[in-house]
Amino acid sequence: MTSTTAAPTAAKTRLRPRLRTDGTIWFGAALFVLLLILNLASNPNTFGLANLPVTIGFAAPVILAAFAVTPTLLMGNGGIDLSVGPAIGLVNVVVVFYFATRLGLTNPAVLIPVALLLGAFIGLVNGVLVAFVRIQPIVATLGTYLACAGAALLVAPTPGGVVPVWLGSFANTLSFVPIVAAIIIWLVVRRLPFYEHLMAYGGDERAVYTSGISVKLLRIGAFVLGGLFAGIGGLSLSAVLGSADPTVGANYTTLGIAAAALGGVSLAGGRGGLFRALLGALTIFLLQNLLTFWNVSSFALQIAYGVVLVLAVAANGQIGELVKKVSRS
Amino acid sequence: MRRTALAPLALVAATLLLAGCADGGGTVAAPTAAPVEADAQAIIDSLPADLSSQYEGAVSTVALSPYSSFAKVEGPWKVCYSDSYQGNAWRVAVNSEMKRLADQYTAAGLVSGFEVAVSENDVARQNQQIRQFVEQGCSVIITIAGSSTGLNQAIEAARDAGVPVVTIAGSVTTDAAVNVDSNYNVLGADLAKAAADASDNVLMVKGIEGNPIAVQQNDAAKAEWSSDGTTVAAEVNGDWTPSVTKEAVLTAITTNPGEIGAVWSTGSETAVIAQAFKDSGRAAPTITGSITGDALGFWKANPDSFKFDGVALTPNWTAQTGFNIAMRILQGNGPKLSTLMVPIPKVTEADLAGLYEDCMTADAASIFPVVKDDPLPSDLMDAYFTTPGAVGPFQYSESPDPCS
Repeated sequence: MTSTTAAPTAAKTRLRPRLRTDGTIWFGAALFVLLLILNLASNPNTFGLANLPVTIGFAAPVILAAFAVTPTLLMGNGGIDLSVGPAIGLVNVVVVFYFATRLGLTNPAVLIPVALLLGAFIGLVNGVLVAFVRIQPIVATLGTYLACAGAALLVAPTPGGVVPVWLGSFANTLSFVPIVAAIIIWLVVRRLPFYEHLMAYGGDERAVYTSGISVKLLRIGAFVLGGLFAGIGGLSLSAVLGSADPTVGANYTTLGIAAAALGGVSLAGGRGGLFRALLGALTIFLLQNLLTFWNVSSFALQIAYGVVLVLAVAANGQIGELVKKVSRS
Repeated sequence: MRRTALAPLALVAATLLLAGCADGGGTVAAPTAAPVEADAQAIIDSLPADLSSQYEGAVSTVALSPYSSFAKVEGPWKVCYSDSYQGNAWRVAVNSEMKRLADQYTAAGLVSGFEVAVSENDVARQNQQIRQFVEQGCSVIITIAGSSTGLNQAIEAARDAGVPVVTIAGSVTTDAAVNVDSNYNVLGADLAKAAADASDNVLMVKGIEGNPIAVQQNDAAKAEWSSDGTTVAAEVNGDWTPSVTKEAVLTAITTNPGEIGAVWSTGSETAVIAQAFKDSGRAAPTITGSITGDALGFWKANPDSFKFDGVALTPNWTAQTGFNIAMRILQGNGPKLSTLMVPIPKVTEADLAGLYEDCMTADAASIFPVVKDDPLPSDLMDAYFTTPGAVGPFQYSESPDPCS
């Protein structure tokens, strides 16, 4: 047991100073503040007390998609989960179309576990493919991306179904609940050895591997955690749509990855966390909201996403290097 | 307590939070779509035959319109258009015609502004855009919905705020909207019958997987063929997109050496289908679908390689019927039904010469012909409203020349 704890502890001591002096969140934070001010000035109604729950409801699927990609990004070593979007979509159709509408099972005691277990199962499949079958994460999750998208169309060939009243409330009065639930899970995960191992693995794969920690279980754990967040995201999306739609989930993969990167979650692993993903997702939502309100062309919106993302990743890197230099001197 | 024991506890806590906040678990929200009610059926029965026949075999939900007694909105009106997609020439042409009409009505003092939002197939974003249109003071929202169910809540919120929503090119299931729709179920069956009349071995080129209109058309075609014994040589997805269609058709042709005498498609990709057969050196099949400028150009250049039997589902009248119905609603004319069916003009090979114009070449994918007669002229449209009468300067005969 000694060998299993020594290396993570060492990794932890290497990691913590870096987190304290890490400046890679500043660009995203500054952009968030700027966009928030512009949104409040342009369209205060959206963020007024009356509309705020609905606004949070619209942002929730993007936020939870960003949460869902974060654990695998933190894992580093090529860790990425492309399947989160279709997984969110599949959870939507299974919960709303199959369980709530076809089987008539509308009780939250049924639908919430179904959503969480389905999300976690998709994550487990990804994890097994990566850890045991040794397929590159980008390929393995591309496979599950396609499988989930196809499965959603098999379950619900056309849009349909009706969400139960309680689930519909996740798009308005209780829109904060899925986000808070995911954050609670994350806060607890942060207290577990798993989190330290994950961050250490993302920072220095060899140190963790040689310490005797089960890297396979670690990778599976990251995918399962991401899948769990995707399951919660499926509930949020269901609430926003008020129904099941087999074609809408895929968009959330790119939005989730973009949000995480924008918030400062390192695509190389070992740096970042859920709150950075939250910051990135809120920034993307505010950008989308502002440009939509200004009636900017959707093509310009796509360009804006791309430019902001590239700028953010580049600026995060530069600021991070600068902070390192300052802290060394 | 070991820290690892916290993980299941966290999951339980999160589940309890989700479930604890979820009140009234056993109830289901009232269905947003109404079946065809007896009152609605009575109105359908009272319509002119050209319109009432459009409802036969339709799978769109039909109810009494919540706007039948909608009071006139003081003008000038702000018209807002929410499109789920602008990735093909047809959608761009709808947008252009909508803008032309808005300009015409602005000049007449009836419209004060025209706003457009495109969601690029992101239903959540389209929801957000519709809600923002309401906040921006739009008088009416015209939309091509990205989902038949996913926009229902936003549309109902718009109705509650006194902003009517008119859908075109596909309906939504909430009766809070006024759906300006066509009978795609019957269209799919009619095109299937035309294909079967031409050959007993048909290539099926389907639209976007999961799209409600595509599913209606696919199901209707298969039902038609199952009853008349037609064989489906291959079934491919063309996504109503020329590049996807051509690749799918070429693949199907190369893997099916037998004669394919007809191709069933429903979109605007008939030219690329004909081109694929020509490129492969295969005999020209009869192709069903919607006529376009590039198809007419291909026909003109290759009269022996293009056999057509279909319809003219053109963007100009799609935009015009939606816009005119929106104007009538704002005028307080009161639509009687939640779904207003528009007849789709039929086009056969005999009609091609009359539709062709010089600017139509085989690569003129963004040009659409204008059919001679308005599919829903003003006097026929009157039957759908409690108060008849056109609103504004629109004249179908003044539809812009496709070559202008």
